[in-house]
Amino acid sequence: MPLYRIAGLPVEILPKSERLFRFLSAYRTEATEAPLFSVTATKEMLVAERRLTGLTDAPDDILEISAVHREVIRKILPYNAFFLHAAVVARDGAAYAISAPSGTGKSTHVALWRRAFGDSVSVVNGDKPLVALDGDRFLAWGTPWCGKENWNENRAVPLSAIAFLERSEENRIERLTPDEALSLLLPQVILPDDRNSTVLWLSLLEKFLTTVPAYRLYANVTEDAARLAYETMKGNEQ
Amino acid sequence: MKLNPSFLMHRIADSAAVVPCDNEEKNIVFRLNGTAAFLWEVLAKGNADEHTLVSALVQEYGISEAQASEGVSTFLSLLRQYGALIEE
Repeated sequence: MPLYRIAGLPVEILPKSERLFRFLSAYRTEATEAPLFSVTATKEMLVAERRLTGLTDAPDDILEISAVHREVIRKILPYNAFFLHAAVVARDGAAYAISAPSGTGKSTHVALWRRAFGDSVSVVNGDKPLVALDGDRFLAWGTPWCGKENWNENRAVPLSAIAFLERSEENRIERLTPDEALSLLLPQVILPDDRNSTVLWLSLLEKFLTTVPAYRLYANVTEDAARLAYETMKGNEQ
Repeated sequence: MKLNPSFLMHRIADSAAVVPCDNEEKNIVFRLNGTAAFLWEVLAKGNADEHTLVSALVQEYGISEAQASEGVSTFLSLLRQYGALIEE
């Protein structure tokens, strides 16, 4: 039985393609616990995935990776974990989420953190972390799904802050109220598809916005942008 | 008029998120500011018309009827635009 550990939870995933099997390999576990849920991409799910992603010419194995991701996000929600479109960087045991629409330059900004701080910075997830409620705090998890740079680590780091990135000539960062953060957060999450899940998901988002400090980060592509982001966001205890 | 029951509203800090459920349109989640969230709650209680909403706004926020009227009209057109309102 192929058991994986996703956001720390034992999950059975049944890959059909060699590509998905290899894609998940770093998250496979030899543990023998009972899985909390099982995920497999059916033919119908692949058809739906093609429509939802607009990847009309994509081969089935690519769609399988994406469909299994969607199903994992759906089934993991009751365990208080939700999907966030963001890059998560970690330094000194604290994680920082950098969120923005695709094409804004999340990866470029993350590379600046690495240039500014060297090996003391790691990327927990380059694009698609799961964020999980853990007691009174939130953890950011690496997952196999992490964007084209393939930046991910199979671990969790407590999330200290989230910054919504916007490109700018000048570097500037400002604290957001939970209300302001909500507007910026909504386009970067995936909505659940039924009422009960949506109720749960909204409570989780509320808790997230009132727990994790949020910032608007206007950044250029110099290392100063990374330094400003880090110096402002560090030391934020949830 | 009444709210489309497929929309879920959830208070978050001083505003609210509104999400359509039972719906293929997954990209029309929107945020209400505090005033709009208040009006949503009045509508959710049922039996509200435009006049009820204006009165409620005047009472809650101590603003003029003209201001309240403008606010309600903006609010209702937003709701119609998103299909969140059912006319009776």
